[in-house]
Amino acid sequence: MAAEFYFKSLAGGELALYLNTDGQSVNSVAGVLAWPDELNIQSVNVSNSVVNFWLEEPKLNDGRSTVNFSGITPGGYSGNQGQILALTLDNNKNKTGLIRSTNLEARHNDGLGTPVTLKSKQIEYSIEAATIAVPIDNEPPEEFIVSLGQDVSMFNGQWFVVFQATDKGSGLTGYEILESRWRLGAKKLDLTQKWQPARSPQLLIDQELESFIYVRANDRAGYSRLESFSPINTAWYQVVSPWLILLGVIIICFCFLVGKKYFSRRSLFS
Amino acid sequence: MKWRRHSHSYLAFFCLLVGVWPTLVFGQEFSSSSFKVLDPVFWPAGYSSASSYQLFGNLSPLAVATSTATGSYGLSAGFLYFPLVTTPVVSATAADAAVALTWTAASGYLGWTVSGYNVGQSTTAGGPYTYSASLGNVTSSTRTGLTNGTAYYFVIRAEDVFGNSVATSSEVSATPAAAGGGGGGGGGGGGGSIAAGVSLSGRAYPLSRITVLKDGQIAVTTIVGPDAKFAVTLNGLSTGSYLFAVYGEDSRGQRSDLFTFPLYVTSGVSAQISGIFLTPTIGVDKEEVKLGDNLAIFGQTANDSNVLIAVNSEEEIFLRTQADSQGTYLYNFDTSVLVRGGHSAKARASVAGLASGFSGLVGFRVGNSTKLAERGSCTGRADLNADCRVNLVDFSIAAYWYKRQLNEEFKSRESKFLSGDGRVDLVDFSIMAYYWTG
Repeated sequence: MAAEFYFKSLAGGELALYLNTDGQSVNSVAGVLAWPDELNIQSVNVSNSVVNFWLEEPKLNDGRSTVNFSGITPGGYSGNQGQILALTLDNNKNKTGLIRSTNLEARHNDGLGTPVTLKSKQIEYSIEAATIAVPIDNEPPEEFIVSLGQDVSMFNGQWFVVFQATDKGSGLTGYEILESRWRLGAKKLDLTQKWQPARSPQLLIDQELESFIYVRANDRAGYSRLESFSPINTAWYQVVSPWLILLGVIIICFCFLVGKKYFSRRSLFS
Repeated sequence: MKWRRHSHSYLAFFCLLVGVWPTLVFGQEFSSSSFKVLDPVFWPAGYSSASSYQLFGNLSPLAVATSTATGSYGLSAGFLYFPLVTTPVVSATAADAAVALTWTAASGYLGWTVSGYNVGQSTTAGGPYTYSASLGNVTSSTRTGLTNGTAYYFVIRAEDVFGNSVATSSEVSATPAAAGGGGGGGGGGGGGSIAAGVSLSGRAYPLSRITVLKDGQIAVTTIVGPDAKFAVTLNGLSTGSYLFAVYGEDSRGQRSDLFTFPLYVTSGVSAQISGIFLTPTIGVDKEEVKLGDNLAIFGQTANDSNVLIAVNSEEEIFLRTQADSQGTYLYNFDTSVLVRGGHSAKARASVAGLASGFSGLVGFRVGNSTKLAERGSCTGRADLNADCRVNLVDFSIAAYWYKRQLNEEFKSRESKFLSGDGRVDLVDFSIMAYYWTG
């Protein structure tokens, strides 16, 4: 048995790299993708990949025509049409070129990481011409989970969060994070300018873990998905209702004013 | 009595299947201290015929003690170990006047080779089904020319090289609908299209907990019924490719292997994945067992399942037992037949015409002393932060060290939880993917 990576042209000007496992269960893949400079690659899309978690996510680097990729599929994938990634080719009419994938490797889902025998560790595909691809996406990214982590071996043992979203349509552009001592409503979260670019694992600013953590995943079509993580520790002002705090302030002010009046009268009669 | 060298019999049987027909094939002799039976013969059913006769052989499970002698021995007809095939897990997705079916490849064992599939179709639940011609060795088929609004029921039959049915899947159903009129799916996910849904059903362990992963992350956990059956539905999915995975945890906290199923989901359409049969859990009571002492091999599966345990040795040894009404099984294995050294065991289950795949391996050593196995639900493998889960947190910790020089602290963890080669590379992440819990 020998597994095989292969290229396949898709509708809409995409070229996809696939894996045929030849009946075996494969849980990790890696390789390098390279193309001639004259080919205009618009994006690398992993939204329909059988790889769920990327060690090296294939992303376009400025000016570079080579990308590394490696990632895993928990539980393994077995089949003959496992899409690894797809290249969107833009404005390539009348341009030709050879796209190569080299240093290909795959590992068995056997708990040992045994190498899978491949028909070839290098494949190539000749681009003849391509049309402009317009990805259709009218759905936000998938729901995802924000998890808290701490480990002595990274970030000097400080707290961090991990997250990973997927978008089945146009693919993700990135994440943003916001830490707030107060629970924020959807409208306020939309309007605030405090969002910061984020990347998993993301080191937290609030190491006391008293903040609400909001993570926003954005896709290429402009949709976003918001997920949050509630504070582990809560400060007293987070526990007490803001209305109670206001009431307390009013009572204190009232007492102060009454007391002031009372003492000023006493001082008049004395 | 004990059977000897039965694997040779299966090799012989396999040869018969793949091309030596109609030559008879004789198995290796087997014997006990009090009697001997020579040359049992495998007769595959219906393969031998002439104008005047037809022979139907006994390719079937054991009929116990059909011949006995007074008090001294019992002879069982048929063969104790016979080829097995896992039953395909099938998905059905409705379309306009059509239903798209995909299924997992059935895997044969002990000489049986699955060479193709065909589809049984009916408009009545439970059949009778009209079967297609052989589709060849494929794992998908689209049934066309169907009537919109009518429920159709399908089964997938795996065939051997002669076209005989060797395994039949559970039934799966779908109702074709005109484009834009697809049923199912929950509310919108924020965009303009209707969300899709997927329902998964099958067998695990009675009253246990199963976890469903969607693209490697926990989507839902649920409790299995007392009959070991489960059914869960995931809604709010987008159009695209998903990888669904299911695993179970038995009453002792041991986990099954992950069962994975890739599926392309279409907006506004509900899909059904049916016939999942989680592998049995398996454990042993001793990490090291003194040669000749008994080793308890145990675990859990669906209620009243037949359990086949394969013990790795110079020649693979097969043990059969039956799960009780709670799905638990136990086999006290006499290790005197093994040689000293490292061994492993795995188990598979079959019930109601369905057969699971083999579980992962559980290891043990045969030596000069006995050391009890540590009891605990955490295997420890790949669980870098020791929280009894292998998930994105562990992945992130390992990814931090990917292709980096390890410090002393992490070097010891890499050695304990991962490959132990002093670096973090794809091998370590492959180990992590195998033990993934989400």
